[in-house]
Amino acid sequence: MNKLMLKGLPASNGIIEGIAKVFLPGDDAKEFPQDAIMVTTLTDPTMVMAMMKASAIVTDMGGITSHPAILSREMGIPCIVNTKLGTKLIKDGQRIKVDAITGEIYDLD
Amino acid sequence: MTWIKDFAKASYGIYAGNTIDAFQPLDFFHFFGLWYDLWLIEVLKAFDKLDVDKKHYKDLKHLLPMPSNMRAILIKAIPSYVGAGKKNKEVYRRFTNFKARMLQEACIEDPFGKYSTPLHRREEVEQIMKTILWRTATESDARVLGKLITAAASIVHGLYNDVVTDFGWDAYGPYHKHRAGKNLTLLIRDFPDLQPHPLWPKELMPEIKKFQIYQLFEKVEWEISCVGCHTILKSGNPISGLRYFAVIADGKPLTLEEIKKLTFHLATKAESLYKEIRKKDFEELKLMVMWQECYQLKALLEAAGMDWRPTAEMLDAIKNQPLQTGVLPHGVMMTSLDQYMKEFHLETFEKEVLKN
Repeated sequence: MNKLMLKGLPASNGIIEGIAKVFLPGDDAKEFPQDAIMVTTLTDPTMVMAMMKASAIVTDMGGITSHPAILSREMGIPCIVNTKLGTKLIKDGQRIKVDAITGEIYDLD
Repeated sequence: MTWIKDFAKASYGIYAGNTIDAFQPLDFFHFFGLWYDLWLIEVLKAFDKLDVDKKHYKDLKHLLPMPSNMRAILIKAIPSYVGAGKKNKEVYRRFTNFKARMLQEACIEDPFGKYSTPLHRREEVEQIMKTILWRTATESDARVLGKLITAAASIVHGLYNDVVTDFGWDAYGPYHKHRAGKNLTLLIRDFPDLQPHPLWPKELMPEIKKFQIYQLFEKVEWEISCVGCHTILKSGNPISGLRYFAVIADGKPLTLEEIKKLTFHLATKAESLYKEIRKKDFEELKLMVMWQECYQLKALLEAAGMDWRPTAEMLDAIKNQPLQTGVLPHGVMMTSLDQYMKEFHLETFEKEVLKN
């Protein structure tokens, strides 16, 4: 049963299910699994290698023209920004569904 | 009637649905008030020496940054008038009126970028369509280009941060064109200066100076919201909708393998550079931001025989000074044009500076 966890601003359209990886500035991109869903406070250039591996991006902060929003649209991957509590509520390895049309994130575990 | 309402309608697009607490690595809107008027006084000395008020954009184009960058300077200059204590009204009036006029002459159809950045004239677009060596695109190619843009944007965010991003990254168009029986949309991404030598040591900068990405989309509609890095997808899918593309780095068309190598190179440089930025203390960050802001008008000041770098007075104005508070509201989401005009002081600026 999908359980609604969080809501934010949809910033790049798409719906995807996958494994979450909480990834913060300063973390090593080598540790970011290919096609994981990046969950972070706000992306910055130290995270670019990991962003390019991500299947979707979820951030605590930012708007529809913020760094993660713009770059997700360019890469054609779903993105939800401004969830406020994404990095607090989503756990590493958790299976989640990112609905970047409605801005909703569901727990699949 | 001033230009400010048209400018507000266009620039609101940057902040609609945004809060202003996400600027990296320094909240520059609360920094510029400490010194921006002192910089503009220097810039106006260059205006006088070059007699810019009597010259058209086409005569000054080679000395000015790209259109998005000029719009971004306006966005920053207006709140800084309030942050600087509402002094030097004539300085702000002349500087902002000049920038507005340059934009009106550069991008006649949409000067402030409400929907687009139409820098090229019709015949120039035709020339681009004819001379570019277009490659037919697959979805895989589109994803490669998306990653290239991500890597390039990241190095630009390192070289110029959120402060002057638009000096290192612009977009032109969208232009509607016809090719091979298809109605297509041309979008040009321009990364015009990836080697700002006065700002960074050579080892932290990319090996290429500049590159452009040319993309032709079918059934994909883009808008450029005031500044080129804020491309907004209005409809369609940029991955399945990309039909043709070309990437030209330092004048040389790149193969797909070269594009992938460039992407890795730029991403690696971006990570290294931004890690260096993260090591900077507050005083160093303030200096970095001041140098980045001044660098935008390097060519103009040098053409006037002036030193473009911060003056001693500007450096004194920021030394050991904390950021200001209350210039713009933190954590408040911009939800209407009226709110934006009030909170970003455009109303005040029009009343006190442009109309007074």
